[in-house]
Amino acid sequence: MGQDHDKQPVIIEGHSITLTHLSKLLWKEKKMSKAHYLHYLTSIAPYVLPFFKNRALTLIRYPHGVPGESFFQKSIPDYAPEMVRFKGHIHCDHLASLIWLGNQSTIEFHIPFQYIGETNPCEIVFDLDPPSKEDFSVAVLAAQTIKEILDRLHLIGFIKTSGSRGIQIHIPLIKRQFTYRETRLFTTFVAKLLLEMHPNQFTTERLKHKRHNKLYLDIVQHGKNKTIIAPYSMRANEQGLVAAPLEWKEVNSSLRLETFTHECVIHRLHTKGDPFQSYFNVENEQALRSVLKQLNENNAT
Amino acid sequence: MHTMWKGSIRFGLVHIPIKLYAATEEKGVKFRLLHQKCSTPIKYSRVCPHCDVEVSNDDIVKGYEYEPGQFVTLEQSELDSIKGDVVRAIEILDFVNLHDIDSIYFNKSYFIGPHDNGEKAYALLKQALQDTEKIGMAMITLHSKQHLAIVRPYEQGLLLETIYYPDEVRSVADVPNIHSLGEINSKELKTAIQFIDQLTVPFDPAAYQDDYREKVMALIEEKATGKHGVTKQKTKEKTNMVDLLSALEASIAETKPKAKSTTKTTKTKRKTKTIKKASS
Repeated sequence: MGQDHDKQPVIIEGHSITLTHLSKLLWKEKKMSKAHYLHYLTSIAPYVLPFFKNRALTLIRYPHGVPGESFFQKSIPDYAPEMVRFKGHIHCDHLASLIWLGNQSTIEFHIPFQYIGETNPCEIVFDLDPPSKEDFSVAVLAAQTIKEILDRLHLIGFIKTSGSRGIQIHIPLIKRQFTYRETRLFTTFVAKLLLEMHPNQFTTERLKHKRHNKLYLDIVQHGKNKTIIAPYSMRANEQGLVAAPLEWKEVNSSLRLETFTHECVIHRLHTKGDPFQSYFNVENEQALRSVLKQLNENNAT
Repeated sequence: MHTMWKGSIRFGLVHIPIKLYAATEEKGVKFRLLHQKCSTPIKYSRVCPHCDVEVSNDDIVKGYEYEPGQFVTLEQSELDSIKGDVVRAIEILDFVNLHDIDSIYFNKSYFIGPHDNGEKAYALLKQALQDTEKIGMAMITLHSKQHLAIVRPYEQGLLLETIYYPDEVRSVADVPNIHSLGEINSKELKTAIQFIDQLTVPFDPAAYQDDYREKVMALIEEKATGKHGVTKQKTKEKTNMVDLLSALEASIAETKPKAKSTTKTTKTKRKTKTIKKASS
């Protein structure tokens, strides 16, 4: 009965969309309705859309809100309109398509590391996921160590919270000149380096029971067909935390993931700006090329 | 299938051209032996401890130790002359019942395949053996050794199995304690027979696998795909990663001193721009 009340046709950038169930609570605990959520998506759209452009999205939808039933969506559903389609993938490069996906109760937006139809990665990502919430300090240590390594190698990385447990570092490779094989050479080197510097905190052991509460350096995660939570995407946890871009100087012992609710993130965007602002203007290729050359030479001997 | 031997089966006046193919294969896991320190496969060299030199194949002769430390040497030509003409034939001497031969005698199996228009005679021999339930006893020279063998029908074809000479099979009487087996209690025997009957199944070789080999292969797979595989040259792992980072850092700074300043400034510039924009 209340359905009709909830229906609201809107026109966004020339596309007409019917918004539905706007009063439905998508986060029951924090009483965040779909209307609030679509408002949040509108606010972050300018910052997140560049990360969606040319990438096939993987969505996690919660049709009845969080907590609740959920499902992954990788392939494009039949009923999806033209504006969220591109070469057979779910694609979202403007506000209207973002709102359409949001109206479908898409809570999490995950992005792959390469563009649609391409094989080379457009970024390197380190996913620093501590064994438990209590071990978050290990993720901070890993991030700080990687930052030091990146600085020494003249590479520029961007850091964000995962919104669930850990931290993630994105190293843009806008020109997409390297293969996964090459980027893996680099990620493996960084992992080994971390392991050597802090053998008691990190592990590359793939078997969970052998990790002994160490932070797992998941090098395998950076590959084709793998995805990572998009910056500014909210997460399907009860607090509705955001995968929040950070300034490097915020990565210290006082960093808490719980700080980054959607309200906080909007406030930060208004007061501090977007820490990922320069992401698409960074030139890492030259530095990475010399690093790879050296690593190859070292491997050959 | 790889041909092992080419010749003919002869019995009486019949002459059947055939080829032999190995019927069985060992499937153990083959390991290479590596030098632990550097994971390089080791190589063998033949060394004379007296002269302290490596000995090449040309300088090696066969010797028979007839007394400790006393050798007679034999040239290959001498051995060849004894062998006489290598008869490329499986000479069937007698026919016997298969059950007359204990399986302890069986050594190695070869499939016999017809060759050179021998199919008809081949089929005839096979059928005749099948109908009489007999097997042929034969002599064959394989790898310059004369073997005793049997020829018997097997599924669609014929099989040759080399068998040990009687003096190659040891006597069971030499087994320790074999002469002091106790009396048999008839009740216990009955229970044992019952137990055997309960566990009796038709022979199905597919039901058995080499568990050990499978486990070893699984372990190898895990190590090769996981992080624990021994890299071919461990030498590269010897490089300390921290040292490598310093080396990389130094060489990057050296090859392009500009890179650092340009990227850094663009970044800071952008940052200030962001802040300005946000505050305006």
